[in-house]
Amino acid sequence: MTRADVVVIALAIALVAALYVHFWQPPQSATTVEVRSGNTLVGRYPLSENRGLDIQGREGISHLDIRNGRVRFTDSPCHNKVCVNSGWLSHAGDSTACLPNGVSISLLGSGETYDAVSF
Amino acid sequence: MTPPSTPRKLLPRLLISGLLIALLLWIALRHPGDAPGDSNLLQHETLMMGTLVSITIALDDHTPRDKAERVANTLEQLLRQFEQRWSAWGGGELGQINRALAAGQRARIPNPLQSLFAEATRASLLSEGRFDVRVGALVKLWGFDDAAHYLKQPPPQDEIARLRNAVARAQSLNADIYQASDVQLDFGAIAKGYAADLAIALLQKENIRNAIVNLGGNLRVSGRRGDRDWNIGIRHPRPDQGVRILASLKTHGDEAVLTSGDYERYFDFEGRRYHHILDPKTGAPAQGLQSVTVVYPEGAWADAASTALFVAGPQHWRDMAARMGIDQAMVVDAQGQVTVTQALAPRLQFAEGIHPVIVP
Repeated sequence: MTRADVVVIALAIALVAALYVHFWQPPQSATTVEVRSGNTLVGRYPLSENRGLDIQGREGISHLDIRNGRVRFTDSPCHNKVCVNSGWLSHAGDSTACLPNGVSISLLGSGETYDAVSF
Repeated sequence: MTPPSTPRKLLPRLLISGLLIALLLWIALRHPGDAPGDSNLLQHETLMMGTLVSITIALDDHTPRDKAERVANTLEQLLRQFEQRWSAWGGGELGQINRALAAGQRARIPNPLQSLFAEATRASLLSEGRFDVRVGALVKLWGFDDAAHYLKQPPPQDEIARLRNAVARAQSLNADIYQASDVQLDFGAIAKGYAADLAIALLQKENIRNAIVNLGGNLRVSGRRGDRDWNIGIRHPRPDQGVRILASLKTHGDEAVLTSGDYERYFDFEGRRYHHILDPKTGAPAQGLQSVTVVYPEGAWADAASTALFVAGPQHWRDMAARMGIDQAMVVDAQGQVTVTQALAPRLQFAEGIHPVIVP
């Protein structure tokens, strides 16, 4: 084995370790949010891209905010704002909805995540 | 003296190293996956029963995707019929009973409704009235019957007293005929758990052994997910104060996980929260707890018990659990303190910063 081999193997190990930390460390985070309106799928959006979403529901527009791997309702045409008060969602298997407006979001991901959430 | 390596030898070595790195990269990257969801699961979601309903089926050789989809659709139909039947204010059987009661008539309880009536009566007796389906008129007075009816302030005290007294003097639900003035029946505190039981029974009849039926956070699990147990998150009642998930639970075979909280249906007035879990004795929202989680083999009983424990409050929930045969329970009090029973504590993994008190 030459010095170059040692360097290559060391680099490979370091790279894998770095990737492991980067991709496997947050074991409970979701990758995608699935948005539904009135039981039809509006779309699936990656949580890695920060963006706002305006979703047309029965009563009006529900506003969603995707930021830093999390998603929340920021506003919705409902009386009591249970959806907004659900706060940021980031775990796969978690979900919330604005029932008056018929808009729901569920978080998807794989690996070590929640299969369902009791609330 | 020979050189350490010649270009002829270096090339295969670089190739092998390159392949090795590519292989390791692939192994490292493949795990998180870009595909939404999981190819080994069927997730079927729909809004009904005034909440988000989710059916999760683990796919395997005996349960291919097309079969799981067919059964999930059948199950959705069953749950829609169930919703129609048990809706307190709709056109189904329970709605008819309530209209007959409102008109001062004797209401006949149809046969298919009698087993849940019996279960609700048993829960009322054991909980000494802390759980009671006869609070329907109070639920309506408080506007918690429909998300569009929420009030801006509490209803008048004399109205609350009138309907509370009507419940107190009404006969219990022990017959197939019922009559009571100023009383309406609302099965909202037991029906979702019962529906989850029926759903799991249907799945088992179809030979689907590994599934979760989650009716707005009230769920029943059966079996496993592939080679591991199902992993259930339990919501923090005040997610904005920190984490959204309070704890997680790995399930053991078939069991129900039911949570009652003050955050699902409520309104705020003058700095106080008025939520949908009414104490039948006062006619007003029960005070002292933010949420109660119960783990029990059967959904209907767990649902009724989670309400009874919530109403019993911070001083009495443990006695109530003992009376109702619940040994696995967790409560969060008004100060945010988490208390969990000895039987449940070792099964939970708490979020960072949560320091539960463990009690017998």
